[in-house]
Amino acid sequence: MPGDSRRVRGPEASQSPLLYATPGRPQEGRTGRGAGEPRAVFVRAGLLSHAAGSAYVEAGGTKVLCAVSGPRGGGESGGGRLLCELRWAPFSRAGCWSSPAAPSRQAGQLLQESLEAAVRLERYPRAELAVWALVLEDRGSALPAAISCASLALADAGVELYDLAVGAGLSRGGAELLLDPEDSEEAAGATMCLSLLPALNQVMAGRSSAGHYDGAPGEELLRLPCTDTL
Amino acid sequence: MAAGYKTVEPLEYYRKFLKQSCRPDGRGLSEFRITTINVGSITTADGSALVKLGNCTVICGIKAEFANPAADAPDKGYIVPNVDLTPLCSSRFRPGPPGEEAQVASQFIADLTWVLYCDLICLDYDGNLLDACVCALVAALRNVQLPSVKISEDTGLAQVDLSTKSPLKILKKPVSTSFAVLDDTYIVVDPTDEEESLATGLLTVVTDEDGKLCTIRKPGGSSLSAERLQECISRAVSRHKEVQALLDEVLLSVKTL
Amino acid sequence: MEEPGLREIGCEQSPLSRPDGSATFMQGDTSVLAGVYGPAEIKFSREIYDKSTVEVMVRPKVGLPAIQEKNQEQLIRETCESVILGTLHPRTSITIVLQVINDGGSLLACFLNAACMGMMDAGLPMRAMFCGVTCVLDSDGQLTIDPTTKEQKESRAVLTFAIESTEKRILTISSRGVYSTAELQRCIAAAQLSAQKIFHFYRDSAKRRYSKS
Repeated sequence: MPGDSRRVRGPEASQSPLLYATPGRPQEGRTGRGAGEPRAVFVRAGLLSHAAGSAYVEAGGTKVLCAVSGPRGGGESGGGRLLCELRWAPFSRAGCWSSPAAPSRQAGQLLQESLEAAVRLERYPRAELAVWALVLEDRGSALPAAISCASLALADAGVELYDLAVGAGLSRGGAELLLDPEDSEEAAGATMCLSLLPALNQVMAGRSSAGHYDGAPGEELLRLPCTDTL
Repeated sequence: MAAGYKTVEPLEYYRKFLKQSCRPDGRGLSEFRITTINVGSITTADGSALVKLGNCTVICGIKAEFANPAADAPDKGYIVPNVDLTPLCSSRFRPGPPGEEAQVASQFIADLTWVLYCDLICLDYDGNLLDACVCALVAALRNVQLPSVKISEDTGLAQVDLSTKSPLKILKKPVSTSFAVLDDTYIVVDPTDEEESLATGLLTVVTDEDGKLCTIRKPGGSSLSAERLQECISRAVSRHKEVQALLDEVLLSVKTL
Repeated sequence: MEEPGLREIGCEQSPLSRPDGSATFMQGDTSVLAGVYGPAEIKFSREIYDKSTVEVMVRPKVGLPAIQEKNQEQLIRETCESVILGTLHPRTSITIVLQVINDGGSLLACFLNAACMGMMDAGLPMRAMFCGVTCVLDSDGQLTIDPTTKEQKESRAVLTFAIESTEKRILTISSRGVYSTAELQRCIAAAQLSAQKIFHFYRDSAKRRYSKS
């Protein structure tokens, strides 16, 4: 952050060496899995000592860590409040170094929308639950992984949930719809992120980037990710 | 019973242990927590390391980029280290580690130099952040693989060859050792969060491989005599050997993979 | 080998009228103005139930305080906290503002000295006094006390100590650069000698001030 006096500042401008790289290396396609096949997932809950609940999700190369604190007194009347923040580590993306700017508002909002539907907030009157997610490495579908990770962390914290929320990423590669896309696939075409409650068979929130979809990808999506997370 | 006693009288609770020359977690006074190092786990970074000191976890990712060299130091690159204390671990924020003595031979290429963005993120805070940070930073720097760069003669632009990579040349491999003074008398090494909050003084000693001192940082607290300081330095020198052996082993295991 | 001594030191007590205590401290070309407020009221969220909350603010000559200043603030705050008898004023705040007037080397030491004189001027209860001494080692291992900016830049290692007045023990150390243990011990010994002179100066200035009025 150029204006942030609380950080050690580097030079004013810098470029990624990838800009100067001799082009011509072909993009590696999807290796060893079909269009509707997600990557292998590693999940672990309760690994942070100071958080009320925490979880770590690794899907292929994508690594997400999430911590939950609370419920603590928020002071506001009515039901409970959920605060979500999603950040990418400065070294998490393959391209250039990105200064640790403010957390991605849009991604955080989707996370919030998804989790609000999954948490029984009416059981926590006047309380505040904070969810904090950090993407350590982004090899595609980081947001869906963050959604799954956050709900696992909430469950680890003993927060009452309707169901474990699951995130699913989808991208359009040519005519095919690719489930759980990698970063190269995400960059190539339109992407979509859905969050689902598998046990209730409900879609909570969704967001898609530029591009249009034919058919009904949701149905396919609903079926696939349910099997691989638990 | 013991848990209640600890909550009500934390210092008294600690004194009972210190009198027997041990600590509530079973360590001796000059014993470190189990140290775990994992390098190269983040493939999007040019170099990375995860260090665990007991529960205290720090991850360091390094990204290398090009920049124009500073006017007052044309033959040097940049190292931009920053530490983030996120709400993941606790909400405290302390800017940049003061013990940044990792001296790296910066690679000088025509009018371009490398800038190494070293971002350290604390994932789980349990005391002794500085030691974990310095260890993670050095491990990550030793893990950095930079692509080879040529300046093309006709265009004057840089050409990067991603297929051939070389490690950084590192001049010094500092290791940091932190101490906490409890009750003005007992010096314990590698303090936990609890011990840090009870401590009457803190001390960090950073040594290099020749047993020389890179940095000493002692912010106030209990005053120390020169002799006590000397004891701490000797412990720091022996700690350097332990960490160095561990680091070499970890880096070698990655190379042979 | 004769150890070169301190540059000329000087001070002005109570140059400011609004703070509870203030002092300007000069070491050669380096000069720092300190203003001390307190013990004063404090926000509920920041109060400590059994002692006063010490806050130190370092203002550079130009620009806003950055990381380096934050680091110095922490060192100075911890040093002051260890000598102030904070338990006499629980639930209060003590604020020390340090303004750089001119940086001619050994700035951190000058900050510490100005802070101590400011606190004395404010009449804060203290367990002991303290002073700051900076030493540099050049490439031949030659030791210089109280260096100028030029000497600091050309040196191999810069060490700053805070030394308390009762037993001349070390409160704070901050250093940059590489040096051996023997060199550290030499620096400590030299700093303790210089500290004696600074404590004498403290005493003389206090005497001068109170004998006049």
